Amino acid sequence: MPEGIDILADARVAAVPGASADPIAGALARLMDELALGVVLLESDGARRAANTAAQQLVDGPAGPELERRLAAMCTRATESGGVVEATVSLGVGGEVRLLLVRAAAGPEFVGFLEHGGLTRLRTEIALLRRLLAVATDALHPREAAERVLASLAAVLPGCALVLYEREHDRLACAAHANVPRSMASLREDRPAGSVGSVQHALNTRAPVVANPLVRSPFPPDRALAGADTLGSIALPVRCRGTAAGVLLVVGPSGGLGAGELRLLHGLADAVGVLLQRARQDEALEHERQSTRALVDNLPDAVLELTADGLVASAGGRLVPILGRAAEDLVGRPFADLLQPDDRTRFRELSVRARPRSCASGEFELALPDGRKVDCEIGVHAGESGAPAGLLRALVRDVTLRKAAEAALQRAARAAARSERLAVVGRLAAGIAHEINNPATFVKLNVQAVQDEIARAGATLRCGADADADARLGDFLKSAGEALADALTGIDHIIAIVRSMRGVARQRPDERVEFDPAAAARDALALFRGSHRNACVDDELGSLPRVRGAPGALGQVLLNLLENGLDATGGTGRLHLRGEAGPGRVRLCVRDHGPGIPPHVAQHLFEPFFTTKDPGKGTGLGLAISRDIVREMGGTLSYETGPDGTVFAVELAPADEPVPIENAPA
Amino acid sequence: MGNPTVLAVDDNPALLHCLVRMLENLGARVLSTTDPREALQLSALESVELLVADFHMPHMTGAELVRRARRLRPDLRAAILTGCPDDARRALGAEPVPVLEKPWTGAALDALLAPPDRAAA
Repeated sequence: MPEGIDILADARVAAVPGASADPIAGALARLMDELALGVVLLESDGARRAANTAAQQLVDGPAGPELERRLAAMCTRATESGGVVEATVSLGVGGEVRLLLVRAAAGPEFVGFLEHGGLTRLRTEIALLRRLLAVATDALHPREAAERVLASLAAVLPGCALVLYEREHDRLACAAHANVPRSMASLREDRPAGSVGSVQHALNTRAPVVANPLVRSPFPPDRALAGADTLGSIALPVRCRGTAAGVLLVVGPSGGLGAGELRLLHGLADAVGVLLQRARQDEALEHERQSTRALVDNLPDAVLELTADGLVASAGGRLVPILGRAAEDLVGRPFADLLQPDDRTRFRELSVRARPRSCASGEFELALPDGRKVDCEIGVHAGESGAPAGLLRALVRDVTLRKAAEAALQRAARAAARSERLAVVGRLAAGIAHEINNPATFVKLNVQAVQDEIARAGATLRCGADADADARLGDFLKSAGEALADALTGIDHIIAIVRSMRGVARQRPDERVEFDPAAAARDALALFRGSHRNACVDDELGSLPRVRGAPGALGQVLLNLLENGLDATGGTGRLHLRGEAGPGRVRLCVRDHGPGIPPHVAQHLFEPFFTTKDPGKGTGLGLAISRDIVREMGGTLSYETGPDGTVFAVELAPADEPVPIENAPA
Repeated sequence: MGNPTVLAVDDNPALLHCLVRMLENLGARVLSTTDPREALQLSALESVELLVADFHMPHMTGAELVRRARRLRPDLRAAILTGCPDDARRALGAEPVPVLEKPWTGAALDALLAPPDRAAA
């Protein structure tokens, strides 16, 4: 150690108390005291002039007298030989102390080094390992911890490049490195599986592979590595649960690494193995957690964990769409806050029934912060064994859509049932109409006949002598005539009802003839005018494309609409029957100038048996039947109403779409 | 032309009776039956000028009766009285037969009884 002498000579100066008031010397003296190496300054006769703390401890220890004796003997030998004298003193179980005596460069004294190999090394290693352990058990990520361990080791072995390779599927990945000089940058690169070299070999054999013995370099790292003639290396397998998880490669100047350092390296490799294992477990766990989270986030449900106190412990899944709140607005708050006050007891009962592997569920209405109401199905099951006591997992599913679909289905079913009922009513009505019409006809005709007879009798019949009797007969005939007139009114009403019932029977889905809607409308108009002498209807039909369907039924619909229009205007107003042809449609409109349809009437307008007419005047089948008839023909019956009147429009598709270019110029 | 001879057919006796009486009151000579098969035989008589028939009847409809009667007497005038004029019109198709809806009126019957040349004018 030729270079070391000068340093030690300075140390000698520093070690002599009061030798110099130089502040650097003072600092050096303190540094000397912190050295693990014992340093003593001896007179040529072996008398101790100074000692640093480490040396003092050894001399004060049980082996002190022996050490002092040996040092004195060494001084004698050194004086005689003029060279460096070495010796070893065994301390029994405490290890051994290596003694080295050199003559100081500038004086008669000797400088002695006491290296307490076993214990000191051990202490250093223990301290280092403790530090490593502290790093490893820190809350740090294990991979980061491995890097720090490596950095700590690099501080102890400044002359060595350290690289930790971790085995991945098809390669050895560089997980951490320290002290790697630029000239060795290739060490930091990943190595493909099966590559040749000590690293791969160490991995395969799971045993250390030494290329050249290492030596601790006294030079600064970069210079040492760059300038060294021979480099040594050791590849230590990093074991993890019996398999080689990676390799720790140490490269440094050749020459032999101290046994302590080697032990340290071995211990470190094991520590790194543990760290890598933990890192892998953590990563696997994190991966699992993330995939679980991804799964939860993609669920159609909101997933909540509830503590035994009913507080939300964690929340995931579709929170905002279903609960209207983000996780941070939920966690730590009572779950019951989400429920309507009336539902809270029900939810508690549900929770009591919850078991780890069976779900207790119920439907609840949640009130969202924005005022929306969401129909939800909440399933609750208890946490698995190992979960905190009383933990509940609640799955909240938005069933608004499902409920809407169910409601739509129910409505459709009701509508179908109603149509079915209407069809039955229709068939029934057709039968009844036929059965009633015949007797009604002859009752009416006979009553009319009797009426005629009575009228004739009233004019001609005379009892003769008795004027009083004549008067009584006249009174009788008059009141009988009135009674018959009343009867006829009733019969006419029966016939009118039968006629409108026949409208139902007239719905024949199979009747699909091509006809001129304007002609059918004019027939209806003629009939209407015949029965309503005081009605004034403007014929604005024009000519229309032919349509397909039942002409009689269409006439019935228009008659109905005209009747309604007339009623809307108090029986005296002006009506318009208008025809319009557009692309793909033919419209027949009945307009009145009545007061419009009030909303409470409008919502029942197409319901069968709904009527605004006086009892006995309308059957209420009119619009319901009309709409069914128009639908049967593939058209629509709609209306627009306002204070200036109402327009009912029958819209049908033309039987044969006319081609526009056929419109020849006039 | 004097009093025309009318053949009245309706399976409902009460209605038939009513029809007969009205026709007679209007001055017609009336033959009547409730059975359309019998009516078919009667219609072959030269004296029958007008056939007035119900539509819905057992054995054959009024439309069928008119069509079959006209095979023998192509010039036979006819009319259908019915509660279901649509059905009757559909069944008659192109057959030129007036359809009266029940209950009919005296005026309508009177118009039927008018001589063909005047009706056509």
